[in-house]
Amino acid sequence: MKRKLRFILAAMVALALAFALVACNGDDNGYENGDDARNGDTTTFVIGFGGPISQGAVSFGVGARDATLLAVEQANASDEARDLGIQFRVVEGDDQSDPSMAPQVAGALISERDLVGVVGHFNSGVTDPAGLVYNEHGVVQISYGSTRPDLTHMGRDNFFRTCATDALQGPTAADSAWELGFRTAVLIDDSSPYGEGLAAAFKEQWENIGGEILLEERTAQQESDFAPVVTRINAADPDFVFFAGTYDSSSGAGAMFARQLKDGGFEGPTMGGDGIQVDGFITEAGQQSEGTIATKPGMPIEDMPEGAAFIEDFVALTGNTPGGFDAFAFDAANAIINAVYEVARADGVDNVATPAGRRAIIDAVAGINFPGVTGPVSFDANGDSANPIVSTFLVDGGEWIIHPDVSTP
Amino acid sequence: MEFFVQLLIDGLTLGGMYALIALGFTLVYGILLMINFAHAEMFMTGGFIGYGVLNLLSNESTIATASDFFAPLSILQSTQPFFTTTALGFILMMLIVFGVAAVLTGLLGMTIERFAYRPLRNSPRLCALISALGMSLFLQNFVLLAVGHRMVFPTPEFLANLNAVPLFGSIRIAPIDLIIFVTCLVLLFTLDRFVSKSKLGKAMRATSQDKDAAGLMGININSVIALTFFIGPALGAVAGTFFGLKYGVVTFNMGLFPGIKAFTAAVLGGIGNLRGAMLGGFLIGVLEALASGYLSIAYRDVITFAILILILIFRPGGLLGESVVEKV
Repeated sequence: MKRKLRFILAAMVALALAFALVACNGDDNGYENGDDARNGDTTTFVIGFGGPISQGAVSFGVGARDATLLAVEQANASDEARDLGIQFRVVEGDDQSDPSMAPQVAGALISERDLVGVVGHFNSGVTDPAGLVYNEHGVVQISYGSTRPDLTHMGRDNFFRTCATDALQGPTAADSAWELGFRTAVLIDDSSPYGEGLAAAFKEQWENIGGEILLEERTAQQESDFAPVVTRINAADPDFVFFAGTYDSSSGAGAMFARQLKDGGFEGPTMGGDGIQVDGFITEAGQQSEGTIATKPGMPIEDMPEGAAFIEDFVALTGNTPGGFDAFAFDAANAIINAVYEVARADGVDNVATPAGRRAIIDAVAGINFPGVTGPVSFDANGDSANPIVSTFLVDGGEWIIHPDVSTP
Repeated sequence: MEFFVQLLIDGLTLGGMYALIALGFTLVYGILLMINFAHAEMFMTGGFIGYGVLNLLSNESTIATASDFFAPLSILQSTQPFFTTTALGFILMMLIVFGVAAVLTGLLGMTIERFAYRPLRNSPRLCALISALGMSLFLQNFVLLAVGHRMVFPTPEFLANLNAVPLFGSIRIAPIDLIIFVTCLVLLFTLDRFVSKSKLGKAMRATSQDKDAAGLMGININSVIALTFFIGPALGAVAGTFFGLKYGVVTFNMGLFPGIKAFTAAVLGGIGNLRGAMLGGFLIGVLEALASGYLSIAYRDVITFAILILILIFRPGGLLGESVVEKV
């Protein structure tokens, strides 16, 4: 009897927990995609979003997901979609910044029957294996934030990206550092595909213009203690430290590194790429982040051609201000949406979500040209953005500002 | 020379944290011959509790939210400046933070022992091991869902304004490192005294030698084991809170690597042996610092584990693991 009671009790607790979990999940995914507006004549296409949502570089994932939702919401309300009888909805794939999750996240998106394209992923190391799946199935993939240069040189004609790459970002960082009067550097990368690519691009240009590298170190992404590295850096005494990696403690260690570098008594600045140019870096590194320099593809959203309107709409939808690569995700989603319109007009709505239609979408994206938030959106022969821009930022008074002493290229 | 000493300081600070965690592994192993894989999660949970308490005492907006929720908490508003800016207040606050984190995590450890391990005490040892793995996954995911995957630890103003302590030459030690090192030494010393001198400590040693005989001698085995599961997690919680204070952030999976390192430290020193765990912790910390200082940080685990393998080849019981009598 007692045993039976115990069993019933345990079962109830398990049920309660299960419900609690389901409830939590429901809150996270919070947006409706306007499905209810459908009538018999409209076709709803799926745009996949892949990026870190629950773990990993989430501040580059959640906002980008919301930007994709915003693009879809605007498209669903547009005359063009109504005339063609098209609606879109977003299916999100949470890759947690984990390359080993990529194939299964991509596989889940591929299994959507009406998939017309994928916005994502963020981390270069995730974009690559996920891209393999999209490539196999001939689905267009537009990354909004993977900056590793060789991603567009892998013979995948379905891959595009809206952001500039480290092939531009690395040299820009080197030039900015030189312009600021730095001559000696310590170069650290976090062993991620992104970090290695950025470090190599930086190093090449830095040595070309005459800069000196006193020490090169490679850390692991999950590293938390950098005290011995800081001791080595202090002994080498460079003008600045270039950290090629991401900022957050679950997918990189930029903030911990910058913090310990200052705590360890190093006077010069830390410099990094877009992986650390995010508000979360400042929150995590605290006041030790002051003076940190970082380059990033694009410019501040408010300075972008259509930035003001984008910020307003984004805030209206989510209640948060956009940051990170959100504007690039918005443009990537719109590139897919515009390509779908094009194909639907030429071949008919029924032929869009077919293998031939997906092929046509890839070709349409390759030739696309429209004014986006970040500037004109079009792609070169490799699939890279044809209008890449990189800006240099500085942490001043607890926020990222455009570095006042660096001339814009 | 200065380079070497600076690395030594870096290593000893890290090693102190490893030693605190390693003690939890070694205490439980000594008594139950079981490897408590959930112990790394005690470190993590302790860090999160420490984060919560510190936030409640020092962060104005958290206090405001909390007092809306429960009015009497608004008293914290008046104590906040005292806690965060004055030396006495800071010390007092740290005592509260560490005390609450240690006690709550200790109680959690006891609860886990009661429900996840005690029913399996007479089952094959593999069962308890699997139960511990399950506990570890449960705790990680519970914290992930209930709190979040990453929390930024507040730095009290007083601590932020402290300058690094210069020792000699260019050698300096960050205030937080000094606090960590001294606290670790005090705790390790106290635990050592407690186990070797006090009556409860004697009971623990007796239980570790022979549970049944100790029971026949009138020792309450269950409460001794519960005590063990209080002390280990409490020390782990202290290490977890230090982790947050030093690195500025606590994450739900932060237990993984320190946990592996601390377990290694326990094995290196001779698992089951208290002083062995302390020695192992400091040794691993220093080895890591020297390896990453003189070679590269990429080599630090290679060197550390190579030395572990060598030591285990020549001394299979670990550095201090021979004297079975001493094991606790």
